[in-house]
Amino acid sequence: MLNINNLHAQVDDKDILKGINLNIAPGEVHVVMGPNGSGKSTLANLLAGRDGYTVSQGEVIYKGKDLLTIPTEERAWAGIFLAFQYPVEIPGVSNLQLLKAALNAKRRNNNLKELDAFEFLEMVRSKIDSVGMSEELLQRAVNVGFSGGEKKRNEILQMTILEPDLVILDETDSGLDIDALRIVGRSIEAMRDSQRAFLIVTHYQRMLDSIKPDYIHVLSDGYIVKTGGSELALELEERGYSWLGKGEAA
Amino acid sequence: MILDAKTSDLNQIHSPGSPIKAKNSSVSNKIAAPKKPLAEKSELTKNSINNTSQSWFHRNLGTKRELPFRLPGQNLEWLQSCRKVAREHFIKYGFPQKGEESWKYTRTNLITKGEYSFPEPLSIKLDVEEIAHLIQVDKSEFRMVFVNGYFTPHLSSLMKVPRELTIKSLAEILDNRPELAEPYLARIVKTDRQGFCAINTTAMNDGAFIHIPANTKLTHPIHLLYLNYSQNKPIICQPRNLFVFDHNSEAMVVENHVSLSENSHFCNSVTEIDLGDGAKLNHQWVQNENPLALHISTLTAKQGADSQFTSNNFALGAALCRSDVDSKLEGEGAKCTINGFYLTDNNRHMDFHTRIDHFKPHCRSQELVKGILAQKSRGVFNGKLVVHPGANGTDASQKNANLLLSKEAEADSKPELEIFADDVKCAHGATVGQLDGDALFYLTSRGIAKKEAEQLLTMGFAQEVIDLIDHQPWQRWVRELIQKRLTHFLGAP
Repeated sequence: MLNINNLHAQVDDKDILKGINLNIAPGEVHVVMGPNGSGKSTLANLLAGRDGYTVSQGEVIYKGKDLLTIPTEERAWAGIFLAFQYPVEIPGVSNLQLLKAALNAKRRNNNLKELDAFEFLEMVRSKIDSVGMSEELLQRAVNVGFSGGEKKRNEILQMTILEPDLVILDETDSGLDIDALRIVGRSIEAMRDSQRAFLIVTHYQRMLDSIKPDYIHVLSDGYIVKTGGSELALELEERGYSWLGKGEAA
Repeated sequence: MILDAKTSDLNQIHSPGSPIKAKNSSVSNKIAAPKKPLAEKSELTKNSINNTSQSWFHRNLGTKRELPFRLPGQNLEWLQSCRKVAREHFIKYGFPQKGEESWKYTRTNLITKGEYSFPEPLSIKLDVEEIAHLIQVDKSEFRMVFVNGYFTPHLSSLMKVPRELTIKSLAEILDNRPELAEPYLARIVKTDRQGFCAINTTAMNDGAFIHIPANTKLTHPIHLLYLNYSQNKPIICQPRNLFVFDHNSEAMVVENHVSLSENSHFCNSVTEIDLGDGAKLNHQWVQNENPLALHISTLTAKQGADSQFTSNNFALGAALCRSDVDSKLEGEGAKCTINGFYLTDNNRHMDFHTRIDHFKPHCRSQELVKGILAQKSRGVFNGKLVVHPGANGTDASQKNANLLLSKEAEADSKPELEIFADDVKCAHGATVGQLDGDALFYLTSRGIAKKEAEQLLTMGFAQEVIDLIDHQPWQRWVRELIQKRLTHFLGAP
């Protein structure tokens, strides 16, 4: 589904990613861990189409196409979803407005019939309970006045409604209490199937209590320095990152 | 927050115990021009003003001899004296000059160089069907329609006005019951050095007169619809409104200015409002005239104790629109809320000025003014707040935010605070910014195309002011109007 080959990326002429190789097949769950500033968020944002990155080398192939030339919104239509580390507050635009515009844009571009107001509301209602959000939050402006946990759950709600093929979660676990973390974990587990892939960026092993990944990658200073199975998380928890060293080890 | 970059935030909170004396605190995103002394003009300029203002008056409104035939209330001595004084003021001072601080941004030469014709009553025939789209907002409204400034009964709907209320044309009141208007008319606004107000007072011929008696609450809104129709030469319309709310009365009034033709016209309206103790006025003003129109609007309210005046002003059309909304808080505990919104494109110019005078203790005032400026347009907000000696316990806030949709657009924001009392709380802030890049990425990453995302964010910026219209059908109507305009600016998604 996703093939990242020798990806080099810069921000303001500073090298952030220095040759990433990563292959994700449908149904797989990949976790990227690593210290602050290692390039995890850059990777997540770059895949979703955020401006401000220069790719100097390498390529990203998504479903057989060169992802980096595809505009942001078209990546979403093609099934990519990024849950933001810091969800943006948008005054004056209601949550419902955003969800409906997003879902219908995706449906329209995939030759599906757009949902009318009634069908849409029914669909949202059927999903809102599972992420532990109150219906009242739907009428409110996107993320405005939401608590940290509400913002993250709102990302998860968008994920369950948009039903993406490749879900990228950028530190969705940070700032969540235990209960919220459990809800997020459960929602992700519920979405897991043989066709959908996940790329989960996280700092902590605790996210992995509820989600069992197929692969764990350690990103350090722009390189993937180690790849392993779910047992790697426990080792990292115990020993930290320093034993892996930096550089082109992988 | 939707604004980023170029954002300058100015917040001053003055709390009790830290008295401040800020005079003419002026904030602008441009370097302010040095102030010229306004005091006395030299003899030479005075003479040339005399000549130009006199000749402007004769050309566009008629000579001293011609004019009276067109105006109501000829036999009223008090009215004649008001008109005479106003005329003298205009001849002496003329139109506001660029050098005057509060007019330095307004391109009045667009108006002063123009040639206008004084419209005749009902020079065009209109059916109700032709204006159906303008009068469907609230079907149970009381409606007064003015065509080219003249009250037009067959388009209006006043049959169900309760007996104790008066909603009539000002011309009719001046001819038949002048005693209702006499204590107020031309006594709330000033004509001294207020050229536009002076010409309106001199030549006012019609407008709305509303009197709500004490302890009366009107449940349906009063809709004042001003239709302007210029055929060849632009017309000059000068609506003159007077709203008198006795104590503890309550009503909603909507002023709605629309063009019926594509040609330029000049509307110079003046509204005077007297709110008795405990009275409540919910006022909406919508100006959606054609892109060639010129519009000057002056509104002044005088508020009694515990009265509440809310005014939401939406300037959407016209090549040049200047609107002044002032309130004098003359009774303890009065509350005044003035909100504004302007939306412009091309090289149009919107000017929104407010002045709130806190004369008595424990009054509150708040203002939220937002502007969306596209292409080479310009938006100006000037909010003056004067806290007079003794007005302790004043609580005032003022916020202005501008969204620039192009590099050539310009926003000028100028809060002015003059505080001569202790124990006051005044906050003000001004921002100028562009669409937030993070918010745009957020929306596009959800699959919303860039154009639609820009529309959503821009509309979201306007939403805060639209939400302040405390009447669902009118709120919806204004939202649709703004949405339509925005689609026009930004292109359909």
